[in-house]
Amino acid sequence: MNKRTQLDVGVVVWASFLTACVATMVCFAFVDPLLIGDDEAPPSWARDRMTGYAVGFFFFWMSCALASAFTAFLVETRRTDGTDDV
Amino acid sequence: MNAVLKEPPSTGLYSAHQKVYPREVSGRFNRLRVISVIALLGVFYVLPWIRWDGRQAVLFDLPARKFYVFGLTFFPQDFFLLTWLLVIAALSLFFFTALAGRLWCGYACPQTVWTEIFVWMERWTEGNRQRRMKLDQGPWNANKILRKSAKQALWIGFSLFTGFTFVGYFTAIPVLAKEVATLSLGSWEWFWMLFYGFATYGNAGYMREQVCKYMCPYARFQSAMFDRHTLIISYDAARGEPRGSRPRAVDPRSRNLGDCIDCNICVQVCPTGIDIRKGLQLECIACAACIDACDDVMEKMQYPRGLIRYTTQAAMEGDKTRVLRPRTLIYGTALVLLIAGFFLAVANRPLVEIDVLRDRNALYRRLDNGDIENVYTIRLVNKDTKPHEMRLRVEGLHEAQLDTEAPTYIVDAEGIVSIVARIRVPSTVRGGQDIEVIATSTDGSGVESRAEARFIAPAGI
Repeated sequence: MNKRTQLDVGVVVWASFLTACVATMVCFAFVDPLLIGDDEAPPSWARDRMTGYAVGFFFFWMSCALASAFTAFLVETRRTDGTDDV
Repeated sequence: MNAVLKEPPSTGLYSAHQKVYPREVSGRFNRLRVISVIALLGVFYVLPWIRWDGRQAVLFDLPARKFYVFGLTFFPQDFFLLTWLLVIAALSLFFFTALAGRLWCGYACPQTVWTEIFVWMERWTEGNRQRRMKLDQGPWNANKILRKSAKQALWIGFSLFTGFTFVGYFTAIPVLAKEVATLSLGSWEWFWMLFYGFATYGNAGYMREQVCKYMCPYARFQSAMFDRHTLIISYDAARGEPRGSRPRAVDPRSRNLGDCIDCNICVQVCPTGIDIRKGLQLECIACAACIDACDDVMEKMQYPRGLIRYTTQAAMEGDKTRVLRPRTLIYGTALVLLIAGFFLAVANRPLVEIDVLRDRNALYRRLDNGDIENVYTIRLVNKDTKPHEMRLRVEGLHEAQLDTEAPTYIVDAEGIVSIVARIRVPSTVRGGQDIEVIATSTDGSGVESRAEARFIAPAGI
């Protein structure tokens, strides 16, 4: 991994972590993980609330990281005349 | 070949990171930071152990979805209060930044505070700046292994204790302590303890100033709150230049020198490794270590203190510094109003909260006698520490009657009761109507809570 890629990965992981923290807090302030799913029967991964919160957190982290990575990938524009210096 | 695929040259934007060895410093501002470190970390490590009314004073009980803060119990329904608190925190940051620059960074930020402690541990085990640099350059002999392992042991132990304390805000800490002693923690407790411990270890032990330089969002936008009257740390170039070394007895003017003796100590003490004499820089976290260091040197040289000092751009340019200016007045007023509003909102929080949900299955039901009935699920949440007996009634619709199975309901302390309620009106009512369901205590405590709802009757013909 070159220096630039390392930095990109760091920024993506960090920015998505911060966003996921906020998203998790807001989400579970309104949603009780035990009530996710149909007919008030929780899916198997949410049988206790702590697991529900953690799964939710990692879900948000992953989604935000995907969005961040995609953004980083798209904004990394390079010149086509061979003089790129990014 | 395709030029686009060429690996870009790695020069320019990102220089290789050089490890910063901050030199130890003493003085007024360092004393202030030590006090701040002890006070803030003291609060963090002690708070979970404080008891209140027979339970942990501050406990965010996530499994039970209840949040205890001393005498108050909060529920997820109180989420807006947390949002409000965060807005207050953000605005205070703006206010203090406009007034005194990066006070937060230099004295109160967890990154600064934990790094400070970790540097102390480094100093205890590896010695002062010179020794640390020599040790790092030297070969791996017994002395180096011993000192490095002692440092790691201290760091790891302290990080684990930090992780443990952090989890102690979410799980009753005496129980947690017993579980740690018997190694019988739950898997998530293990995970978060190690996660937070590792974050502390990495951030305070290795990342340090890089967190401020590359990761902190505040560092990027704080300059937007700065103006000419904001307190900054600045080198007095007019007095200091031209810099140069000289014997103590010599009058610098006779050699055409300024007051800066170019000893570089201000650079050596800087935790972010910058030279303040080059002017205000984004990396400067305003820790004032360079002020303490330079004052010390000035005293030894018998020059006046303050070659590097807290000042403002206005003062440096010979103007008067104005503390009261539109920016500080607007931030300050908004802050006072928000804080007052917050306490008012907490004080006037209904002790018993009511939620009304309409039955989703049927819009309405026509009874045998022609009356129209809507069914609701009513939830009473008791946030008080004692039980309340509540009676329900309905307002806003003439002749509406509310019918429940029992005449009153007892809601336990911090408990929730779900009630199925039927509201009936005569057949003359048409269309959708706004109603209000009111829960009143019958135990003379004067608790009352209201919620709006919708009553649906057949549309008019």
